Amino acid sequence: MSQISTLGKPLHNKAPQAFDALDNLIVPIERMIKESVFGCHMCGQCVLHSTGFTCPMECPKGLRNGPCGGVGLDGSCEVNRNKKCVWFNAIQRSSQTFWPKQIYQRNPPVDWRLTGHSSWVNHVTGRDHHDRTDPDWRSFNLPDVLDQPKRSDGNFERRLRSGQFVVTCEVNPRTTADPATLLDYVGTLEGKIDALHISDNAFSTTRMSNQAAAALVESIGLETCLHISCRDKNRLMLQADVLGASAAGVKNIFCLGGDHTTLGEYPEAKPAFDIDSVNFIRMVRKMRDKRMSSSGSSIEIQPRVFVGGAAAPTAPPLKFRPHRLGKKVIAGADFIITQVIFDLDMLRAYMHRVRDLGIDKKVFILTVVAAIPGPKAAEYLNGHMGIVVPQHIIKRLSGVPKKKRRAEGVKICVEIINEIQEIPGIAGIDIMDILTEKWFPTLKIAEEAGLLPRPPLPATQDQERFGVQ
Amino acid sequence: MSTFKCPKHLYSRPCDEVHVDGTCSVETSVPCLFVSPGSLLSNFPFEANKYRINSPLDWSGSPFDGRGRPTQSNSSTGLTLPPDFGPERPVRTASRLERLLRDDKFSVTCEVVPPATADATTFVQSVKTLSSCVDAVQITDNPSADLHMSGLLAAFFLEQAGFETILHMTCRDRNRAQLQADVLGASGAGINNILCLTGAHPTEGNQPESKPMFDLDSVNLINAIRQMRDDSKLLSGRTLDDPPHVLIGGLVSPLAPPRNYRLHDLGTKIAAGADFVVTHVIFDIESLDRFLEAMESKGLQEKVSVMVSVGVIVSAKNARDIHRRFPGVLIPESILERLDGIAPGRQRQEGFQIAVETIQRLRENPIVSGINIVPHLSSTTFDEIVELCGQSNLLPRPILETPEEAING
Repeated sequence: MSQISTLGKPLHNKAPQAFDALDNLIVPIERMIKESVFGCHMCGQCVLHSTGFTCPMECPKGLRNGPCGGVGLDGSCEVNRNKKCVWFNAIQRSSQTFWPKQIYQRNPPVDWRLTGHSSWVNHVTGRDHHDRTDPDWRSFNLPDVLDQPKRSDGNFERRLRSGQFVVTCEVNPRTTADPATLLDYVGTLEGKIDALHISDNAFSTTRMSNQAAAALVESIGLETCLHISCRDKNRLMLQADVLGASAAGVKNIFCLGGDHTTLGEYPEAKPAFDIDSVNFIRMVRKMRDKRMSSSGSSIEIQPRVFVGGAAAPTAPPLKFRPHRLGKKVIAGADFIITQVIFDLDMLRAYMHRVRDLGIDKKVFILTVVAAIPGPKAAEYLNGHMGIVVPQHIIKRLSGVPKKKRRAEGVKICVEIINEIQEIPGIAGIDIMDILTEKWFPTLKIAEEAGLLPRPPLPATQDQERFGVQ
Repeated sequence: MSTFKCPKHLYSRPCDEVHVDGTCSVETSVPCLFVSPGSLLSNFPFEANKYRINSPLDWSGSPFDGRGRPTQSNSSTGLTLPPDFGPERPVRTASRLERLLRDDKFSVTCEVVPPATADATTFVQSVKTLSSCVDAVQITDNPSADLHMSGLLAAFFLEQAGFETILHMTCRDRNRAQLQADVLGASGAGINNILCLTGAHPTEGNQPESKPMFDLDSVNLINAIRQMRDDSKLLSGRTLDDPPHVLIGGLVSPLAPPRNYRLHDLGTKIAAGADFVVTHVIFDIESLDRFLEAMESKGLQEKVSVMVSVGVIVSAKNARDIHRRFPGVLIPESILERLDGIAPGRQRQEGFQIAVETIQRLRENPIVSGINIVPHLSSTTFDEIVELCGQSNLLPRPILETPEEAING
């Protein structure tokens, strides 16, 4: 395919106007054919051949590298439960095409200048960046994560590298302009939690900007892991935020796709989804390792951050999930955080496949755990955002009197943590709050699970070099 | 579909970045859709002294439509002008800028561009040069759509270094959820002033592949922040425990077409909640004076503080370059001729002389309550800005009583 553009590029450089005229001529024809056959959305940079001739722009998030974590347990789309996720078709059909391996390759993000133009003309002229597509992720020979150079030298990375079982927790900024409550709460976690995840407008509700929250938390001396979702910002702002966060001392950045705007507080807001999480990870990685922004402008001082990505072990299509993880690892994730886990059998099965594919050696995998406040919340969570709550947990919660339910939730969570520690390939946990403004059981969970006090911090690079204690 | 032809998805009003010759700032060969006769503006005819705000586009109808076709809700809300600056208007913030504006003192601000790196120490160090000569620094938000450090965090670093900051917030990169989150964050980080603008289109900058957001326009953003501050309410209607305490600013483009609309636009922004407005860089004082006179005739000068942006031209070539690159900036022939008549070696000095004269004339105008020096128009150094302030007799800056003293009288 690439030979076409090597022919077309010099021609295009000589007479771009001719190709613009050709574009005007072809667009109606292309639209007519592809719209009726594939449901084409005229993104102008066709990847139909890699997705089994299923248009990925049909996805409300326009994902081009695999399904998001919000797929319902029956395979439905998170935006409309009556629609099936387009990626089921894509995965199934791609195995029947001549290019069955192309579903395992990373597609570059959409160039929004090209939308509405002819993808055929764009391909011939090389405007559609097909040369930036990575090959099948399995063909890469990535060194093990322990052999890779140190990235941020933060507490979180050092603990992971030394093999400690890492304990992190999620902190949700509130919908207020006063950070005092947040900082008070965060102060109680000092020395007991290895890194604080600052969530990005969790559950699609507007909260205080997590950028500002992370900067404030860093300024009182705690290590944070900043979540940045692709839902609300385009790549210009995402990169600006990565630079700013790094300047504020943030050493870990967790890149996630985010749930759709129509599920949140502002259904009428414009969803960004400018790039997907796989490309976001790669973009941050490029900024750090090559000192380059996504479109190639140079960055003088690179953001020295440890880059993370998300995984959804319990969301369908279960078979494809490890491959999506693989794509993220090849794109450059240093650590992975899963969706919140209640079903240990599913996690074990997932980790088994991950180990078979050899991914567990290439990346640090952390799982999210949470204490459920009661059976109602458990019912709600089951099937939401790719979360599975097994029936025996729901039964157990409804079996205890109302006043003891929260204590029972903590007990279940502690049991899950103890079991997770036994699974090979899992490097740590992230304790999440389900009731983000009412109930903060993090410390209780950590204590009851026997994770406190925390082991001593491994030495930093400088301390190692100069032998300072 | 015709209403969504504007690259910034605007349907009821032109953006703040129209070039003075009436061309679109995104595609400079095309005239702005709101300028020509029978333009989009005629769909929303405006009446004098009646200000309305059109609700933003609704994107919820078409999540499965990758083409992204929003629906336009034709609902518009009437707005009333706020009371004059004075006892009727409560003190909003602990901001130095607000106290200056209330005391009718001439304020001086300077625009700074955050660095395009992941380290802010050099940046903060260099801005410290300005500490003696400005009342506040304005932090741009990825100007001209070029990648820079997040303005929110750059402002946070400068606040920690003891500066008063005015954070620019564009609608280009964030949707309404994130814009409101950032307002909360900015207030939480100690930033007291926010300037709302539409922003350049991504294709104008160094990340042209980015998706243009433009979920809200600048008037809707001003309105959203005012609602958060005064009514403790988010756009969704949810109440805030602790509202952001910020002074709201708007951008006004007095010389950009459609000129008859710009005054109305200023009124709309004031009615939506702007406490101060900042103009685009002005070289043509006569045109500005005419605009300000028209503003006075409508009685708007008591409702808002006008800060005029001032730039330095360093050469005749630079003047022509500015003309092309910066929307809303008009350099009159007289200045071009004056620069052309001078040897290239001395043009820089002459440019500073012009800036000093401009500042002098602005100080004489009672409506103008401050200036905003824009060094990145022609890569002027901060040392030169200090010198410029000195030459224009703006130094030393007044020392104000602390906010507690101001509130307690």
